Amino acid sequence: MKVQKLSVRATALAAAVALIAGGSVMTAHAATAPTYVDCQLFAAGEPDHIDPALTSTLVGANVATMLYDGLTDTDANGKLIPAAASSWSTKDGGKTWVFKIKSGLKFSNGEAVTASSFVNGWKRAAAEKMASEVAYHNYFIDGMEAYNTGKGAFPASSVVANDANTLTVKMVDVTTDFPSIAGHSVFSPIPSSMNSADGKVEEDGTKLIGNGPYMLASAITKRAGGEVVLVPNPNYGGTKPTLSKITFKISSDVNAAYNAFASGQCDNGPIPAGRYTELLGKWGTKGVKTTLGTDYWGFNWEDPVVGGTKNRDLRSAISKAIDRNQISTVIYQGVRKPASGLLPPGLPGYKAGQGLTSTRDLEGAKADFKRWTAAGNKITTPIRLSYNDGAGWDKVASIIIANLKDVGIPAKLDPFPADGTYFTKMRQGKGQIIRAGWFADYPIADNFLFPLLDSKSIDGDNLERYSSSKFDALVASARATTNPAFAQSQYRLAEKQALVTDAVITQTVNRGIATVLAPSTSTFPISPLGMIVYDQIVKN
Amino acid sequence: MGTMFTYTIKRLGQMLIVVWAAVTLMFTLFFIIPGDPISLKSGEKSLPPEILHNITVKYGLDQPTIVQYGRFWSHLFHGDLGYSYKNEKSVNTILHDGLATSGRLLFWGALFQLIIALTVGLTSAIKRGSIGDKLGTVFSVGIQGIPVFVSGLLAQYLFGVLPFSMHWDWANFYKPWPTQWWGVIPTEGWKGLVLPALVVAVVDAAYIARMLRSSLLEVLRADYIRTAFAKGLSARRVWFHHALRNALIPVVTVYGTSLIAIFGVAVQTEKVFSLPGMGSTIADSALSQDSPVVLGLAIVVIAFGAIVNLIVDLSYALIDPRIKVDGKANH
Repeated sequence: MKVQKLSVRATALAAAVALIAGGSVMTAHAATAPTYVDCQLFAAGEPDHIDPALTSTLVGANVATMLYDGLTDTDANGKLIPAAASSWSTKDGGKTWVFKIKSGLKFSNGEAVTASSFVNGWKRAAAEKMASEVAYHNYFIDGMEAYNTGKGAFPASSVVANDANTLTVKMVDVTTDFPSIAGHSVFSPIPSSMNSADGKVEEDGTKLIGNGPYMLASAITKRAGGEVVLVPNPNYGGTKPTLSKITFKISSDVNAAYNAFASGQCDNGPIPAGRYTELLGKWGTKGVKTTLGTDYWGFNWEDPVVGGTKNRDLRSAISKAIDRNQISTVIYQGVRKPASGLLPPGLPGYKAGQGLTSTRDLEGAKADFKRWTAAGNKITTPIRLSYNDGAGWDKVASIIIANLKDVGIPAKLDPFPADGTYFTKMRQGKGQIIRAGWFADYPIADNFLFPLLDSKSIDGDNLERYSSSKFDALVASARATTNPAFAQSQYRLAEKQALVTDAVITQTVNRGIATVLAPSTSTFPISPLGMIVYDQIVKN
Repeated sequence: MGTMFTYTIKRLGQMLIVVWAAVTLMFTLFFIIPGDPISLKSGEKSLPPEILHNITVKYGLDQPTIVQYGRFWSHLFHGDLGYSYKNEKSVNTILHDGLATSGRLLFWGALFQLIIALTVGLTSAIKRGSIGDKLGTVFSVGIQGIPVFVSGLLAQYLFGVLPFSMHWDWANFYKPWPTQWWGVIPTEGWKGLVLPALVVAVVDAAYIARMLRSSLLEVLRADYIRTAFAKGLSARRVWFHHALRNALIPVVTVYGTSLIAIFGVAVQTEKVFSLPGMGSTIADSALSQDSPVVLGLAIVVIAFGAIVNLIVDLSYALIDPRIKVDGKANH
């Protein structure tokens, strides 16, 4: 009997636990409509920085672009548009650029935005002690590389504030695309209070002061679980933003981030891998956008089996055998579309069909492979498809291996450890067929072709170690010309040289962004550079 | 009392040696494992050598290892744990922010764990062979086999996504972690605490409950318990004063070990729930070889483990006066 009493007490204790845990279960509310807060979820990784001089991640740059307006910007169609600059011009074909700054612009602290604000911002960003990862974008400007490496003073004669509204910039070489490059966040202006601010300024929300549509509301926490809160900049000179507050929540797990969205914590959320069709069907496709990025597989130019001019037919066979549509539909469920060249749609100068093929050509692949073997070549060990493990690339590689099997080309998975060293190893020539991809820093063809395929980029982003004097000459002539139309034609020829004549890389899909949105979101603009234009979001 | 004081001082001294040895080992490992935190910054896009050099100099990584090691301890003695290579945040700030969150999660996790373990363990022992006992066994075995990232996501779905889709906001417990606190008590948004704390709690609660049940059943077979009942003592007095107190000794050991293990569970829980605690920071920092952060957090984790062990050892003497702190029993 006494034991029974104890049991009753234990049960009561359990009930108490349930009450503590359940809390409001006992005060059940009537069912209410879902309500969302103005909140955006980061799940693609935490921002390294939100200081425009330092940030090198897409998520960090996305916040920085809300805090700062540079000279130029890119609209939803990839077209260059004015931001803080009202106009720009060059009298020497692109060696010197003159930007006219709009009058009446102010930072959030009330200080006027002038040409000097840009000089100071660029000086700070390229300072050696800042050790910014993105400072190399300044190297287009004469004297900036020496300044960044401590070999020279700030090139005051190359970045000149002629008056409050005129900024003159002298380049190292002719740079016809500099107005596009100047849209990068590293070229943001700063107020005088930040002239000597170091990289830790962003720790304090009151000191990182910008001229963008929003300003920081509080000190930030950039880690998983942290938040960055923005409120409208009362002194903003452009169109006033629509949301009265944006809370960026930093999530470290894509599944948890989606659950947070689906539980009403945020207005948008990421889509876990393999659930694109299901979740876009449920929440709608307003948050889907093709961006300026391309996935591709490159052939190690120095590899005896797949590299060099003599193995061009094998590379062509592999390129024609790949079923890009299968990769697009099976892996990305249509969010990433089959690519037809290295340069993505939406990039100025883009032309479709620059690659060998965008559709599968099985007969062509077999014919090319037959020609290659007839020339006395043979594959003694399966060709390696090298990729960084743990990021889902094994699925893409598996499709390609199955595709190659149809042609009779033996291939195998070649995973490299997910310890961050994959690209370093590829740069050292340790891959055979190399998984790679590129996302535009700014919307220009040179930003793809020079770093990825020029011989000067070997040991850098030219993972294939591709070296072609013809390609280099085409890119060099495009860079040197003062005629933008001629430059575009040269870039297109260079793309053809690498993708068709030499077949050194084979593109698979163009990158895209897909997010799920709360039903209350009616407009959710995403720029081709993958930036969500938060100040133009409209909610019902 | 003097013995206990001496013992405590001795153990604290040992703890300092353990912390030094562990940190030195980890410091060494960071220089042995492939890659370095600076070259890891070059991902899909490579960074020019000039940029990498600037970053290397900024963090003093161009200095010889022994100089870096000496500087680390020199800064540590001045209370400065350095700055993250990843985002330049002060490790002191990361610890300050992270410890508060992790501490609160651990407190509530441990409390929930204790309540669940006592409830299930006592019920199972008292009602041995009953449906409640069998359910307790199923609960214990079942819950232990579920990884935290699965139980966490499942909890988010069952107590977040599902109620929200059904417009049952009262049942939606997947909420943001509370931002306002009075010590360990959330003063707003308490719902955000419940799911992470329960996920932390249930993993070892089941094991402790089984341990308590076994221990209690063993004690209940002892002669002195039968004597106590025969003397006419109330069931409550026999259970709680005689049986439970003796049964708790092995359970306290397990609970102490569990508190250290909870740290590991909390790492995963913080990751699954994206809480701004130390756990997720340790995991992320280790992957990016952010050694200042990892070393700073390691000092705290190791010290925490050592302190918990010390408290467990000292608690033996409090629970059972026959046990002395130096390990010798009174006879």
